[in-house]
Amino acid sequence: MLNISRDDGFTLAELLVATSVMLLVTGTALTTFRNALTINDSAAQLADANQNLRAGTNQLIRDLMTAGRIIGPGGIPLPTGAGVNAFSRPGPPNTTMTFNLVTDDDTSLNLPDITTGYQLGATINGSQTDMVTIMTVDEFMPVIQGPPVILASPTSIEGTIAPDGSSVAFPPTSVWLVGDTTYDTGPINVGDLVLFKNANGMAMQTVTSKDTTHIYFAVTDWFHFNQRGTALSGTVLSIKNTVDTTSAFPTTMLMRAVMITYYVDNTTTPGTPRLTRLVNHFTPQALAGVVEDLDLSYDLVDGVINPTAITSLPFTDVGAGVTYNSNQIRKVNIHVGVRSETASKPTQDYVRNHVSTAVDVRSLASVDRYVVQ
Amino acid sequence: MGAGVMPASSERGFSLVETVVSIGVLTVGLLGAAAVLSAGMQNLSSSPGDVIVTQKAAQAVEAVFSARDSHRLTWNQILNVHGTSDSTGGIFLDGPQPLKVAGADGLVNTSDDGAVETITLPGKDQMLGTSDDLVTTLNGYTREIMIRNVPNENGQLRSITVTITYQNGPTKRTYTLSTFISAYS
Repeated sequence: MLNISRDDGFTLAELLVATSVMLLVTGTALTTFRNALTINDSAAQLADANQNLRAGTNQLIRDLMTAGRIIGPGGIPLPTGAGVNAFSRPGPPNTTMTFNLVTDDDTSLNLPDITTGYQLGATINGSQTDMVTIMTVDEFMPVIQGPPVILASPTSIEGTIAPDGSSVAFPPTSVWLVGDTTYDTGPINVGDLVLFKNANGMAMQTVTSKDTTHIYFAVTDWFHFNQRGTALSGTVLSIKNTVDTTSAFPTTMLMRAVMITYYVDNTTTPGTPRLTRLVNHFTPQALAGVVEDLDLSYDLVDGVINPTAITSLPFTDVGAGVTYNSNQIRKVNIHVGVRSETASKPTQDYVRNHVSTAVDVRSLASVDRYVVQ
Repeated sequence: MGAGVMPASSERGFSLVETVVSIGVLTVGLLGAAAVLSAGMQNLSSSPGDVIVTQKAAQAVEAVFSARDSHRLTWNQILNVHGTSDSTGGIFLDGPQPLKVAGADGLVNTSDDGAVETITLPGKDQMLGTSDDLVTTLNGYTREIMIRNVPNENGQLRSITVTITYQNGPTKRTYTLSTFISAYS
């Protein structure tokens, strides 16, 4: 026979106490769990926003630091003279823009190393974003010298510029045609920009086609950089010893120039604007996720007034009667604002972060000095 | 209790006291886990500030380099106002300063600085310029720029140390950027 008393359960009072304690504990645990879920969601949004910010600003800063490399503060001369077409400027989708050239100390107009673009980008949340175009020289692409030291047998880094400036002939082994496996540099492509530099100055042309021995600069290029004529200044013919279409070019260095344009694109992905980096006129690359704000301003130097935080160039100081242009930029002030891809659940709002910073445009500070105390 | 009956002791459950104590232990454990969670949350909430301070430190240094490269400052001005006996007489304020926007000289931590920097966010309607805009002032931040001559370099080389502190909840976080500037640009 079983002893029933040993099988007694809890009394009602015990059960009540135990249940309430249990309820309390499970309640706390569940609340904590819900908080954890919320935090996890916020964490994902925050990390997303910050990562966007970092990616966007870092690349922009790096490109601005190299602006004007080898080119110098004056910019690159472009064809100037009667009948010259305006030069197309890359920009956001469905926009048509032209470059605003700056006056050089000779007869040609120059493409500045940094072309400002105040409020030329997309309008986001009711405020208009800026864009910027940066010119620099590709430091990894080998420099080509023309004409070859021994004309009959050019080396892989030599080429011959056609007297009319319409093409450059290379040996079939040229690093510009086949690439450079040692330094992992690709060959030159259609759409690349070629900077010609010699003792007479600089000029730039766009590669419009290439074959196994030549690269060609047809006058129909998208930028209109290939306009040539002996009556014009700032063309590739202008850097010859004699401006004609028959004489040979003097010793000239050929480099790959790179035009980098930054803008906020709200057209391709409406509602989730992207910071876009566009090289020359190739396919735009979205750098960073939801970038809502891109504001740029520039500190200029003339040794006297030194205006700061100028948004658009050329800029005229009315009081002093002085007009500044892009070649006086010494510092770029950057403001980038980002938000998370999706709204955070608890607040029903996006997680945002904004940062402002500055970058010294090192390559434009071409004045060396030595100070003895 | 008769013979042939199983010993009842092996079927005895926990007593109420034991149960309460065990649940108590469980609660302490859970609360401990919750504390870890809140610490994690605090670290996380500092991450936007971390991004801001790295750029703010870089901004200060870039401005100094730019001023040197553009000859806006003489070499002797690239020092703290007081500094130390062998590094003195410059234009950069000593000690931690509020995070103000640069004045007309484009340099931060100088006597002509403007107001404390603000960030304007669009608010819930996602439109800037409306009444629900959120304006955040970077009040919890300080920035110190310390410029010192490097010994045995004839005053031609200086170290720049930018220290930014900011308050994140109860904790104070610090970010330091150290670099050098030479009279040769």
